[in-house]
Amino acid sequence: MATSTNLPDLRSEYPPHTPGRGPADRSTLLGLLPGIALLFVVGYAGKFVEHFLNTYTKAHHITFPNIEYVLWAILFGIIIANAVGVPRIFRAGVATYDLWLKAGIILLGARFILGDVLKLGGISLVLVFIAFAFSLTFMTWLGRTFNLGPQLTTLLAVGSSVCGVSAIIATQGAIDADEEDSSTAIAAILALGALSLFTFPLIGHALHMSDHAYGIWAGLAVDNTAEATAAGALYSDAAGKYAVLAKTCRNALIGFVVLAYAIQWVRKGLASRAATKQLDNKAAFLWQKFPKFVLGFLVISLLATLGASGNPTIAALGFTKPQLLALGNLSRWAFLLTFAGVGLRTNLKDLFKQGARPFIVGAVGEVAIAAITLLLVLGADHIYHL
Amino acid sequence: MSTPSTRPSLRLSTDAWAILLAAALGLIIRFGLLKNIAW
Repeated sequence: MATSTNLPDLRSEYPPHTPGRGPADRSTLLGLLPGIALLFVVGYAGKFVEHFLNTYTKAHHITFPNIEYVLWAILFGIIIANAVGVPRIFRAGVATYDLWLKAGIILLGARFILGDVLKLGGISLVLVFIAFAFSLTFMTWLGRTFNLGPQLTTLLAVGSSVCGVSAIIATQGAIDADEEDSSTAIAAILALGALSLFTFPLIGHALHMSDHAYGIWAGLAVDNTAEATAAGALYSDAAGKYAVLAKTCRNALIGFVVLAYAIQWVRKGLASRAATKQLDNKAAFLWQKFPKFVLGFLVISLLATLGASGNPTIAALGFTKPQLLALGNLSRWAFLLTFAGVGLRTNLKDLFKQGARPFIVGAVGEVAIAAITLLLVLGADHIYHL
Repeated sequence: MSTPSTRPSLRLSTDAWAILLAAALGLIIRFGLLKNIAW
């Protein structure tokens, strides 16, 4: 027996919008391998097609836009998942796409020096606050107009303004929303995330946006981390890097938003005793909801910054340039597995099965949020030359 | 009555696994055990 050690239990997250259709029963190392291999094959097929098309069109002097491997990997994943379905043996491994996403983000720290993280992170945080205030107000108004329940409206507002699926799951517990509201909100956010993969790069190219500006826009406007990373990488490798940075800033705020909602729910007397008890220790609550992988990203970025220091003693503590290059490339490989997973867990049937009203509220809200964040980013680009 | 499991368990969050994986890769690269990762 290879191992009986329990590995990341991601069953509840695969696919997040289809409860009851989980992967294989056991997440053992051996059980994960077929799915991880499938992620690699699908992702690498995307990379191969990008390379093949580039070489072929150049050799035959055909004008053809460079389509990043990301799109092919996601498309192949969607086709496999929806035409034949992902066989049970692969499911546990495919569900590890979230692990590769987080590992990829941590390793991406190697491509940032801490100064850039602080500058762009600071700008992103200000933009996040403005976009958050707007989306919260707008989504709440929209939810009321369309007669959605307060819980579903709250989940849609949090999902579209903070960070998609994780924010919805975290808030669900704080406001005692039921499973159905949470599944509907997650389905709406994922459907809109999938649409943004195809629309955002087109808008970015039409507006001739820089990699910096586009990346930050994608990171601020696309809700789920995997989709935001993919939407950035679809534009360019550099844009993908900035999309992750902006999205990471949004993710870091999740605890504060959930805490604010939990307090509001308790004040209104709507929270259950269990949810109220959670608020006894607010610092512990914040730490529990904080995405810890962000700390890993900061540590790697710190080591990258130390390595670039003029002082040899300090530089010896950090990574050298070739080491940073290697870590950056490892991050790209981790994202390749993630993007294949994004396609493989997209279940088109389930996305269309949800009710029309939550989808309309989500869609109208998302378009408004995308437009507002676009204006904010273009304004910030004008002032700070992102 | 339930029987306690005798299987060794390392049930960590995905965040913790991601940090451990990245730390392991960082150490491998830092000490030159793996070089020139191509993309």
